[in-house]
Amino acid sequence: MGQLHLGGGTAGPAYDISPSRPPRTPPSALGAAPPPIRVGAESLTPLLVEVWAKHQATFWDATLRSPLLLGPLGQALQWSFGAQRLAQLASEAALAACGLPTREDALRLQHRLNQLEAALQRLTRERPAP
Amino acid sequence: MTPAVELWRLWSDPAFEAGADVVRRTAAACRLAGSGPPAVGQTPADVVLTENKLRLLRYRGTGCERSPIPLLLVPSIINRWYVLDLMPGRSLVEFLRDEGFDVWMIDWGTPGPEDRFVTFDDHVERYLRDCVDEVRRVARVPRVSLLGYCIGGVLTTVFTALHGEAVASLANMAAPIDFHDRGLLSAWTRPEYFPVDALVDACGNMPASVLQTSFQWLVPAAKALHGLTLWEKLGDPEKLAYYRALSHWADDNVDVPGETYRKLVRDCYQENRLLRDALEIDGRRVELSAIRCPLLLLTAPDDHICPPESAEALAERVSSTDVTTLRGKGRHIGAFVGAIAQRTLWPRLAAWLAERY
Repeated sequence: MGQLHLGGGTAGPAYDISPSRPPRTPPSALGAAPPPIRVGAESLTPLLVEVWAKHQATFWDATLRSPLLLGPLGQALQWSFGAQRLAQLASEAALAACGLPTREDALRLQHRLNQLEAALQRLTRERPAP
Repeated sequence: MTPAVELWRLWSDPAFEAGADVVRRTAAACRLAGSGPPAVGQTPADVVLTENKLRLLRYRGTGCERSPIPLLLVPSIINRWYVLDLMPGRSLVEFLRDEGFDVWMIDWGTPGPEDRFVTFDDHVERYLRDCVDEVRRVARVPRVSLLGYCIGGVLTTVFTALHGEAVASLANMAAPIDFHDRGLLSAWTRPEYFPVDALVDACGNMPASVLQTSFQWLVPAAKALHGLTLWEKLGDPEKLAYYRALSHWADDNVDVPGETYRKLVRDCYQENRLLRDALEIDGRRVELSAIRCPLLLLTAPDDHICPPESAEALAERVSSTDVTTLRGKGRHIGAFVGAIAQRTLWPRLAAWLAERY
């Protein structure tokens, strides 16, 4: 789509923008068939983009596997998740002290119920037909 | 016609058409902005089994012309299943169904917060095993063929090693086996950099948004090129529809159950236990040499998530005498569901499956 073929010609369209669309002007009276010199955005940009993307990929690959980046990032994640977990534990301890079920208790119970339901379904499937 | 007029025509015609093209694409972009999400996973199917969030689908109109063995597709647990049934005319499921296979699919569903306790072992010994048993029961066959994609391929490999008697043949698409490869994921998940225990303890499930972001950083340029690629596709309705469906899928990650993620990262990515025959599922050691069925490995040379050597490492570990490796063209997704795969890889996959039962 949108490939522009430049050049004069006696045979064939002077340009071809879409396979389903006839040329807007009749074939040129000048010269031979148009050489397929593509200057459209779709033909030139992929080449440029490919070169750019290849350079980018090399740069990012080296950067994103560098211990200089991954080391501090890993430490930051460790501290961040550690702090989040400590806050959760403190909140759950407070709930437990009041005799209330914690969120983890509720989730664990729901998980057990799901397992029980699946086991019952399995037994039902395996039960021989009457 | 004077040379001046011809010169003017030579200049004006391409300029006019280029302008018209810009107008057409802009109009297409406006239509796109006003439209809803693309319709995906449209091949008609019946839900045969549900278990927790999981659904087992059997596609309607499937037959046994090419093979009497049902084919169970096992997608990844970190993405949605419909990548294998993207849209009509661009669907692996539809292709295999039309080729005369009895096609089944596992939809892992979307885990809830309570599913943080669902383990990797549950996925193999409860979910996958129940699905395989159900396929065998309904289709009245002793064995099924398995086709695993990405982490789904890891599950099918482990299952086949443990329950080889139920598997007629195993085909893996981009399924990592050697996790200590040259890929970025392998570097990022090293124990000194990635605190998986702290993450799972704090978050419960591995959040889809974190997974999504990390996958985008695997190829930073791809996100930057999204607009340009979209502009290109706007000129071709068919390519645009496919691109939209694929983009929709890529943005539609799901949370991964916390305990499953912990074991996947620790045992597989960090300790490479699957390759070393040291992975344990419900107390049973997984030995890859126990795999004796025909094996097909589909890989992609430019795969940034599962480099080909990571997937092909399985060929050297199994006891199968019938091992085939096919390398597609492209990356982790396009190589297996793209237009080239549709023309070249899918027919070879169908032929391979048809020849082995």
